[in-house]
Amino acid sequence: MKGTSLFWVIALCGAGTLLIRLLPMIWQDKGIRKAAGQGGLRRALDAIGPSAIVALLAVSFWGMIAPQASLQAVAPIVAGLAGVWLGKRLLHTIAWATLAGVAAYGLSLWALGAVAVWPG
Amino acid sequence: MKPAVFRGLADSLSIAVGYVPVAISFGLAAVYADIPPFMAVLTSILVYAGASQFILVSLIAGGGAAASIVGIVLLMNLRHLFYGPALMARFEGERRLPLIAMAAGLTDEVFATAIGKLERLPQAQREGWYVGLQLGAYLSWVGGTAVGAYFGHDWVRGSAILSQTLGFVLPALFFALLLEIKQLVPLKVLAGAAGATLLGLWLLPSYGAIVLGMLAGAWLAGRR
Repeated sequence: MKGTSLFWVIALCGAGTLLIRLLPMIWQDKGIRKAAGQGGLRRALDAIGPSAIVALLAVSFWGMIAPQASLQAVAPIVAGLAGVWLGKRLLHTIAWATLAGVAAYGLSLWALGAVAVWPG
Repeated sequence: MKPAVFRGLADSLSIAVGYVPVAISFGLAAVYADIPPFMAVLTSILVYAGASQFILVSLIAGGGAAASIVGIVLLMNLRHLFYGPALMARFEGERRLPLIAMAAGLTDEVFATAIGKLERLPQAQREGWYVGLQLGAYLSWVGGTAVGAYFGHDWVRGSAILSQTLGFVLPALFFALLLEIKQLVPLKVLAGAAGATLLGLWLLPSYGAIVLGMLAGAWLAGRR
């Protein structure tokens, strides 16, 4: 996707996101109460974000593992996930946990690459 | 109002510390996905919603259709529907700011910080403080994206390991987010979303499998 199409996708995502944030404020300001804020629909909306994260995680791993399910492909992923988990435990923020996982993944790639070229 | 704005700016530093590294990663990931640097910055300026921006890049790189991409990004941000009313309940009396200025920077982190601190501020300072908080967080996100997008370009092209490592930024972020939110919804909802996504990968393109997983999770949560 290039140029104009890319711009319009970004612009529509931005406009839509702004409306998602703004419209409930306007409704609140006008005292309008929405049935959508209650019960099953509310729970379903609450679950969309977490479900999307799980779905994206599944698709990401599928794309990384499915083409070549080898030690060289899986080991860095395991190291990266361990890095994220450890980062979250020790540093408590999503940002640092993500960076810890990426660093662990990169180091693991480098180490496996280094092992591969060492003389036997 | 001015001192309250500056106080809000100062309080936004705790958000900025978290935002800048992820925003740099976003800029790099966008460049890695062959998105021009100015478009990456424009995404942060216009969309300003961390995780869904990574999804946007992921779907563009995966060749998703424009309508699907917009739909998925907006579905992902639907949780923000409930932030506005909860936040507005903290502002009493006559409002000086237009609502759009209150809504534009309402991210997960801004909402969480504001909900925690507004109660402890005098009513007269709340709007100014909230503007400062939003502004600091927004500038750190856009600035971090620019650093990643413009200065990261040569790093990505020049290093095979860095290039491959950046492919793990998205899975790492999603896993970190999962660790953060796993208590918010029942395990069966998360498991159902994962199962539906994996099933969808056999039948659909990846962005279709993502939608299937999201809808399955929402359906499971709604019917309990």
